[in-house]
Amino acid sequence: MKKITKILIANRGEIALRVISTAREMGIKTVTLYTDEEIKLPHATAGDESFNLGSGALKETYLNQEKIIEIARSCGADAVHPGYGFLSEKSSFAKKVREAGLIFIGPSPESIDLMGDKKTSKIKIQELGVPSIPGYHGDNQEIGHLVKEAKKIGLPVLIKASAGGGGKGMRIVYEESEFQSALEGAKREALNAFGDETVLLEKYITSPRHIEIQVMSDQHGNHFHLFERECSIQRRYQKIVEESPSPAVTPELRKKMTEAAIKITSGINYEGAGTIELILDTDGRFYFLEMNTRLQVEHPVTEMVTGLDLVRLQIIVAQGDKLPFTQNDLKQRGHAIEVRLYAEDPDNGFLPSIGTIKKIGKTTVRDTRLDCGYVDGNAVTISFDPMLAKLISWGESREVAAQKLNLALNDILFLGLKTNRDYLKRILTLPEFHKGATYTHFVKTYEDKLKKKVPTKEQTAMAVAAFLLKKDSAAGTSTQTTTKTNNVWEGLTGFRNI
Amino acid sequence: MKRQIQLNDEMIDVDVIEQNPRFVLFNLDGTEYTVNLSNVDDYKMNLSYKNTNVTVVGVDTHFVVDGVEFAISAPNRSRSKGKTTDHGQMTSPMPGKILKIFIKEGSVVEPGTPILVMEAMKMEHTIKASKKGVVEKVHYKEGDQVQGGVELVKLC
Repeated sequence: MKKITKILIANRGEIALRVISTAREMGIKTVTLYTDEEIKLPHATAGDESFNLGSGALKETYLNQEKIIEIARSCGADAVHPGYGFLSEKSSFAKKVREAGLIFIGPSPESIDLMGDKKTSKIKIQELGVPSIPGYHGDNQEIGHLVKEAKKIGLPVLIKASAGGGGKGMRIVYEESEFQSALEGAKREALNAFGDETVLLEKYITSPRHIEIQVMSDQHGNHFHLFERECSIQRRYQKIVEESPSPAVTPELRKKMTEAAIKITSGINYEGAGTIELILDTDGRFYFLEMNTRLQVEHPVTEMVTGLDLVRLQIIVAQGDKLPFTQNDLKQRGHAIEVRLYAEDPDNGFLPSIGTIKKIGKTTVRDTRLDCGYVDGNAVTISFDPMLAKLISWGESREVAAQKLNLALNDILFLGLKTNRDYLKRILTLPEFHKGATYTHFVKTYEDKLKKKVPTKEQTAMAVAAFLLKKDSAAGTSTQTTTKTNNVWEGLTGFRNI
Repeated sequence: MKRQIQLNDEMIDVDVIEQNPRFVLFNLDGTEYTVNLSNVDDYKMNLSYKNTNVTVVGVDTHFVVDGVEFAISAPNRSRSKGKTTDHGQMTSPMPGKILKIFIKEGSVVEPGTPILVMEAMKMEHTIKASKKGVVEKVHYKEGDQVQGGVELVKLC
């Protein structure tokens, strides 16, 4: 098959820069896209060529399949890298790219379709003998039958309104004796809220962990796993801390989980990079959640423990080459932890913030990597995701990796913006984090312990000293200069936000 | 010289006893601090206090000491004189879309009464009144896109 010589990156920000850096190492030219308001962002000019998508809604810009393919053809690109988000899991886009005679750096449209649909993927997974969360979704709603199904699933179970959402018509049952009243309550609520009293049963997992297996397959039937990542710590259903290896995964469990992952990729004849997301229960049982048919945001932790470049592997696979290793060659070395820096206020309900980045800062902590789509002076607006950057540290052990990352967070500051930087430090220094008590409700469980800490007297005094000594600060002059607050929410005096 | 500075959410008193471009002696909260400035590199200031070296980074009003963030500024007299609350103006905190409006012109609101829900950055924010009053004017309707910093509702 022909070698890729020019890649159009159908994405933006840090992931566009990430693809550029590998492509450059491989002698491949890159083409980037940007909108009118992104002209000053680094990805707009970091590639060999760049094209303006104009302005307007996302469907006119980064989600405009025809426009993007037209640009790819006109500039002579031979491949398209979709990054993550946007069009990366749209089978119609993968199909159109192929129909235009270009290589889509990702799986086949059929794989995207199969795994993208929650129903078809679960059916396929069961066929392949990989467990998904046990449940009952049948039409027989007789109480006797439901009790039998609940016992088959194993208590505790969750009774959920079939038509449901928003926690209405939902009950957790721990004891069989509670089942009847819980069922009646759930049905009543379901009928009132949705006009349909049909319920479904699902195994209730009390302390779940989010574990995912990175997979990589080539076009020659070789299917590999690149070990696990744990991404249990989340807020607003978005991951904020990711690591590899998981403190909860033993060698035996790892073997079972990775075998299940390979069963899936070989069973669907997958191609390229992908992630099998699993829910791990405290009893060591795990269940298939979903598969992401693309590169993940948190891929750097896998890169740091395996020493591999996942974008390079994606390109190798896409141009039809064999992956240059055997499973036995792959090793998980040391420990890597990633944190996602967001423009938001963790002490005020994680409200997003906007503003201008005055100074990002740089770190000299060893084995630490910053994947960032911004430079000093850039504006953070409401148009795109509030993720500012990913900071990743590697260490010989989990303890060392956490120490390094905590230290590096003192250097990567994003001055001028309200960020979750200090909040991430609070997580990394929490004893429960060190014990590996990382469950998906971590942020909620330790809400009180994760509250902002009061600075020491000396820290406050040094900040005041710096303010007094600063040449350009308003403190040095007698005339009052207006100090504008950069966080618009903070400047708010007329009303309160919740 | 006694002076007031805004530290995070509160106003504090600092007594600056002596100061030159490389040195400051001040009293804060009953403790005297003698701090030397040894070097300034772009946004980093190397300070020394009692033989301890401390690096403070800062831009404008945003300072970081040992990873701990501070917002420090000189008090802004013009703003404290004319708080927007007093005029009953309510401005949008950031650009976004009005999802739901709970009140009508003429509605009586108490502090905490939900005024409207805005969506910004894919998240919903309920905006509540912080003072008692009557809604004099509602400038937008549900579904409208609004810029940051524009008046949404006028209370009197």
